[in-house]
Amino acid sequence: MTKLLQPDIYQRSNAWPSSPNARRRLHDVMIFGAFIAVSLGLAILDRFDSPAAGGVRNVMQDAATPVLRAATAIISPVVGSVRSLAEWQSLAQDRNRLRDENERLKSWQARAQVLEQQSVALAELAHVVEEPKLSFLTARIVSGQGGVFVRGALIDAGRDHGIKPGYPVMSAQGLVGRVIATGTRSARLLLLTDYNSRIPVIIGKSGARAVMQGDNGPLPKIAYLQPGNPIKPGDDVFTSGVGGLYPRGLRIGSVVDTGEALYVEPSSRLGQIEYVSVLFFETLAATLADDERSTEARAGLVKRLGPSWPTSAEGGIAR
Amino acid sequence: MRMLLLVPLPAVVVLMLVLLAMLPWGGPAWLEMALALTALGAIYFWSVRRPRLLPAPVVFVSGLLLDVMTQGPLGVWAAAALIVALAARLERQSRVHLGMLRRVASIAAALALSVCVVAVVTSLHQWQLVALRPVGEALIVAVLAYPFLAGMLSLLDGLWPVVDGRSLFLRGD
Repeated sequence: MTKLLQPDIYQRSNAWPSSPNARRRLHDVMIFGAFIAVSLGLAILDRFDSPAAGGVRNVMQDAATPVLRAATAIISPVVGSVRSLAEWQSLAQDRNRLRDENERLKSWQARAQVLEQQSVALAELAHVVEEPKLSFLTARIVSGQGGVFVRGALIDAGRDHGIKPGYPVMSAQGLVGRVIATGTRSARLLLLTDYNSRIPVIIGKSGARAVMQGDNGPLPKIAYLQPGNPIKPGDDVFTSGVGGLYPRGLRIGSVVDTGEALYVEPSSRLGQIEYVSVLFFETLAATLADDERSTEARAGLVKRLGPSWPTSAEGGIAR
Repeated sequence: MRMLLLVPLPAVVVLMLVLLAMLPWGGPAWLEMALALTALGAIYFWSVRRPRLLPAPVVFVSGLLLDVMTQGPLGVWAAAALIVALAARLERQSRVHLGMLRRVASIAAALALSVCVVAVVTSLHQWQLVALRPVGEALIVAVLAYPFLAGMLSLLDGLWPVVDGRSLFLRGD
């Protein structure tokens, strides 16, 4: 023990330190240095979307998800109780606000029913192509939102449940984000507040078009707003469907004006959501990729089976 | 039997803290980072007290789990955890002479270094400077929480049997 209390002395004359403590230090530096180099190498591979880094991530994600699901089920009542206590003080205010809101919504309900009938009648007259109904799957959020650098989440459903990258994700209140990667039993979400999130939107009654961009803060910013469109705080924000990443008309939130810029306050409380619904919406990019893959597969088969194989013009492979 | 239970204890404690950091607590953004830094605090503690029971591969996997669950660039938290563990190992001999205040200063320096690595690599990865204020808030919370964490971990550390006047696995023996 007394040996350990003595200071290390490197003998500079020798290439290899003779003191056991100095040797141990050098050993630690070499081992830990090698692992640090591997870690930074992984970060570089991840930057360039390497399949190896993606594979490591998916394997660890799938392995940790059942443990996280169990742990989340345990802490949920605790977190819920703390949240209820915090909300207790605002209950009276909330009750009055909800009463007023309910009165307003009742009058809107009657108007909406009339408008719906008119819409159906007009669609029949104009022979409008019916939009396909989206099916969905509800899953539990099993991880935090990723801290301060990334706004994402992990859900306990993945490829085995039919989920694909690009699918939009909703809560009961509105849009949450989209799926960016899938494991077999887990999927990663990019929240709409993340720096990398860009969503084409329409705002208010005027239907002004803009892009909502996240900045890792609580409120995504409104950018590229068409000039001459009067929008004001409180206007509702919906997805526009431009670009084909999201279906048109998903509710996102409402406009807030901070004085410096216009922001969107998401109607979903992103930090408090327990369950989300994944919409099985084939994005334009996914459809094009599928088309490209089938074209490549067809070309490969033609090469292998010879010119007797039907070309794309004759029909070819059924998708 | 007792030793069989005690040998994996440092790794289990670190993995438990990593798991706690990954759960959806629903707090402010800095809270999740502060929890991740608390897990790094535990790595620092055990790397000083029982380094042989917390080898580099365990530290690497703990950091990698944080990477996967915080949705950040892969390898960033792993590098941060390894830097904290290495810093603790390198200074563990001089540490026996340190007072409480200097011990807190040394963990603060190790955590600050690891946070700098995380912030710089993440900024380069996203090609955008990350917000530094919540990072600073998380660092302050984690450093202030460390004495309490160290106090609790010291209780666990006291469970090791003492043989010939020496606690087994102490400081790499």
